[in-house]
Amino acid sequence: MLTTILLAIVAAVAGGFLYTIVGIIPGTDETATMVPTTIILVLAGAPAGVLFAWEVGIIVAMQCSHTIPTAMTGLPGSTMAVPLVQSCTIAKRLGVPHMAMRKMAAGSVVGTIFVLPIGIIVALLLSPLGDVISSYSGVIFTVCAVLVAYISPARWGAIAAIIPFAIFIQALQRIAIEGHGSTVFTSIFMGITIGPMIYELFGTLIPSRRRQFAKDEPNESWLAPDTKQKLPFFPNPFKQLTRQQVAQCGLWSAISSVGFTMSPVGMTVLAGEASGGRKKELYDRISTCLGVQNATCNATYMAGLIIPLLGLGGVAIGGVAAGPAAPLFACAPRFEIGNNLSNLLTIPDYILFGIIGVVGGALCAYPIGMHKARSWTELMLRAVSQEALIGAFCGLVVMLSFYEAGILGVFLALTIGLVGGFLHTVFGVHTGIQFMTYYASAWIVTNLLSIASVLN
Amino acid sequence: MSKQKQPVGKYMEVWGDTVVPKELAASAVICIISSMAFFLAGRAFFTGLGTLDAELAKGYALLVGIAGTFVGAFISGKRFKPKRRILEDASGEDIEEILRSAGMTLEEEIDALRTVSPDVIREMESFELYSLLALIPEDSPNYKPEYRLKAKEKAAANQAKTEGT
Repeated sequence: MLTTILLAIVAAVAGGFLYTIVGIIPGTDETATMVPTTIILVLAGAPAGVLFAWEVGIIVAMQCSHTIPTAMTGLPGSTMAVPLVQSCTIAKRLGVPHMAMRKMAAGSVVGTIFVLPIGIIVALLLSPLGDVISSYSGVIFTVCAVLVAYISPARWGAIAAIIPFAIFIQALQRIAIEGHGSTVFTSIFMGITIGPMIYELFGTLIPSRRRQFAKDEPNESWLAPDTKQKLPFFPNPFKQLTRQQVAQCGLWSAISSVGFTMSPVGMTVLAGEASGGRKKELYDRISTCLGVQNATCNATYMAGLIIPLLGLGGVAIGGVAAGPAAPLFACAPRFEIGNNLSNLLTIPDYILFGIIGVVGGALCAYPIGMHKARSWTELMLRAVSQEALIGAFCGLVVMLSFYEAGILGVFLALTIGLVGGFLHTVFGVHTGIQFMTYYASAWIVTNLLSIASVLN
Repeated sequence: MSKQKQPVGKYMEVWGDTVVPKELAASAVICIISSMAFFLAGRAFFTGLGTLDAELAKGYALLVGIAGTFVGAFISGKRFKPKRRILEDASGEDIEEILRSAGMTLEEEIDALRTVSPDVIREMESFELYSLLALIPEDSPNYKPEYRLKAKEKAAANQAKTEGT
């Protein structure tokens, strides 16, 4: 037990540091960056508590540090930071990017502190349903896929895409059985994750497209000036927010625990509108909006991790469980739905390793956000080239799919990436819908086949 | 080659940032090779030990592989520099312009400032947001004459800075 705790501390701190940096690099997607490393830890046999602390740590770190480039340059630090951009840009134009930075960093810590107990309580309230949910997981995934599709920008198109995409996935699984002897998970999941990127890379190979999208000038980034104010090393996050803002953060942490199946980005937008939108004064509006939004960002992520694990018997429902945290729910050959992290952790484990994760994750990201936001943003912009970043992803994806099913796995990942990326980028059938469809695909296709045999 | 190549811009936008396609391809190849080389070497080593469970040995090999990914990314990062232009933003922008972009008018903001809570005012003071504080009307309990003085001083300082550069 003691070794597990020590390992968990190491994992949370190391993950916290790594994902602080990932968060500062503009535009990095949570799912795409968190899934590969988590898969590796799962497959390397890390104990359950270590995995939970790791996941909590990297979520907390990234949700805190993604605010750094958002405040300093107006470029979103991650997908979840997109709703923050507008208020951040106004703060930057007012000359107070450090205010935006502090509100968001404090909000993220406060949101996490609130959601840990609330999430566990909601999970315990739901847990009698856990067994029922896991025995009907196929239907539930299908219903979730339809719901997620309906609230997506593609609406009916997304719903219409579910069955063909499910057939496509199961067809690839057949090929995997043929060539590899069993179905694959990592290759398909990674393929969907990096689909949008594969699609764009594919586009660079097409001459007409290249002419259309080529640019003569590199992107310009406007970096905000530094502040001279002095702060303690780890400023009390509750003191960085007004009392009313803390109360709003608490309220929205609770709402996001209940609505953990909703899209985290959607929830964040909603929180911003509801808390800041009604404020009449500009400063009051943007500072409240930013603090509450980033608290909600964190809260939806934590709730989306804890509730499906503890309350729903480990069925990967919701955007987090079927996204960044997916390897904790299903990761062949170690985990599958019905036999995953939820069967290995007890309630005290969630509390203990959750706290280790929160502290480890915030240890690095929070002080950097408070003190070094500008210099670290500049460092990342000047030192990390997009080429190296995308290259590293290509390396990870190829290695992970090769690990699972050899060269066949690599081809499967590329195939699903190209098709999924096309659906995502051109039609707005986003990767969230594709993940849910992946989980639902076995049930959908089995039932299609039985309907087909009846009608024959 | 009879056909003249059309001039094509040097950069492409992939995943939200500009890249040079050739360098991107080279970087992907470097990273794939280094990750796979580390992974395969790791796998050979750990399965060769014979003391580890086969699945676990492959899992450890992935950890070696991720080190390879970092090595690859490091090499690519050294070879291919970022294509971003970083500019310092020290604009003393017009407050009306900012309000308009936030969907507000100057009158609305002045009205809101009249009644906003002292907590908010205190925070604005600590961030030296005099451009907004100076808008507080004189009949409001939040009004302090020093705001307008400080706003003027700040504007003058900004003016001097812009002229200096």
